[in-house]
Amino acid sequence: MDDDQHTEDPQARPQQDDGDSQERTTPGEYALGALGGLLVLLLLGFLTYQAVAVRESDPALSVSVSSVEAAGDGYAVHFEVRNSGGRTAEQVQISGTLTRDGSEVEQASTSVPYLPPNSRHSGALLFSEDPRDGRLQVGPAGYVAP
Amino acid sequence: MTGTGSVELTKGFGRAIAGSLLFALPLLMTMELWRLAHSVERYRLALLVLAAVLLVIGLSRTFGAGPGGVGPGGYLADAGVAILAATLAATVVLAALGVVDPLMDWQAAVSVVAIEALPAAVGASYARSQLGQGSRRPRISGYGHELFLMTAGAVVFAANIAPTEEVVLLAAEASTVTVAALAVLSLLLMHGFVYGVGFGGQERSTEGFLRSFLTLTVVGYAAALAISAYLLWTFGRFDGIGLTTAVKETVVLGLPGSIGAAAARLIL
Repeated sequence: MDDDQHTEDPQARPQQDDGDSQERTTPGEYALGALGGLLVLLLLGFLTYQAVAVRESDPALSVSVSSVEAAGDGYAVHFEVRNSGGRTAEQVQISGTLTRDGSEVEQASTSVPYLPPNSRHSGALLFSEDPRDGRLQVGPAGYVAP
Repeated sequence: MTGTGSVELTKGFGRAIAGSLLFALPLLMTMELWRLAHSVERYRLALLVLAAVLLVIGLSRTFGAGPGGVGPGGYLADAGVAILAATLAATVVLAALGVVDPLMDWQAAVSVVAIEALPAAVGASYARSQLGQGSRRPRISGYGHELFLMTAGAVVFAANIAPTEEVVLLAAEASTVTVAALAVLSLLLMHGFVYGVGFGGQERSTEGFLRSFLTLTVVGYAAALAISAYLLWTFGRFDGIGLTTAVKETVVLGLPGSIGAAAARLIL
């Protein structure tokens, strides 16, 4: 369908009638255009790289506690969850358990909607008991494959 | 001359930014698309990017390369500028909304920008060539161009709806009779848009009702369905479902697609 472009005069005529200097593609346009083309190539290259190199392994989730502080009536355990695997994890469950003298005192959990490969998300688990007193275990509890 | 050239360049670039926001903002703020950007298979995303590039090059060619010149160099440069502006606009808005963090998490950001590139680049290209002062109104004649414009319109409208869960839900709940009625309704709306209700770009049905209906409306609807199916496949909506449901989803998405196809013939 592109071929009839060349044969059609009405298409080309209004451009010549204007006779402005704008009608010529400026070097600046060529430069920006080339930049756009380069961007497309980089984008496709990145996607190819992801397809062959990265996107094979399952999600690998790890949670690290960054700080514990008093918040409101209780305590907030701030965490950061990372996905160092090759695939997105959805509905990532994070749970934390507080144990004192071998018995479970309290549990808290939350979820992150989705976590792409090589990204991190931060949040907080809320406890009413002080998590600094006792043994606190925070970790990923599960996820759903997209 | 250099002065006016760079002013025109800046204006054209700014118009491209505005156009990409105008077309892509609904999708930039659609949650499903952010997730899909990470989960769809990479080759489908790469194909979508390629399709966007080809569509923008086609648009630049049809509209005489925006504010730039003529000839292959002109319209390729124009398409490149449109894509550059579109990715820039998408990145800035997504970062401002907190959807992506290009500095901390550039890989995730690239995926999301890639999937948003299609509507943004089409909007940028359209604004550059058609919404400027003294923009040329191309006289589109020829069946091939009509068909290309209808396809472009279908892409823009269908892409806005394709990633949403609603398509899947509507298709799952619709009966075969409803779907058939929807297809008829789409065809009637399409034909009515172009020939019936007196929009500015309305066309005279010179060739008689039956001929224009068959050669333009029916073929345009087929193009809208093909675009709908392609977009649904890209977003993984066909994965693990039967043929009947796939057809239903396509017809459901074909409604906005066909309206877009008809609108493109009026506006462009």
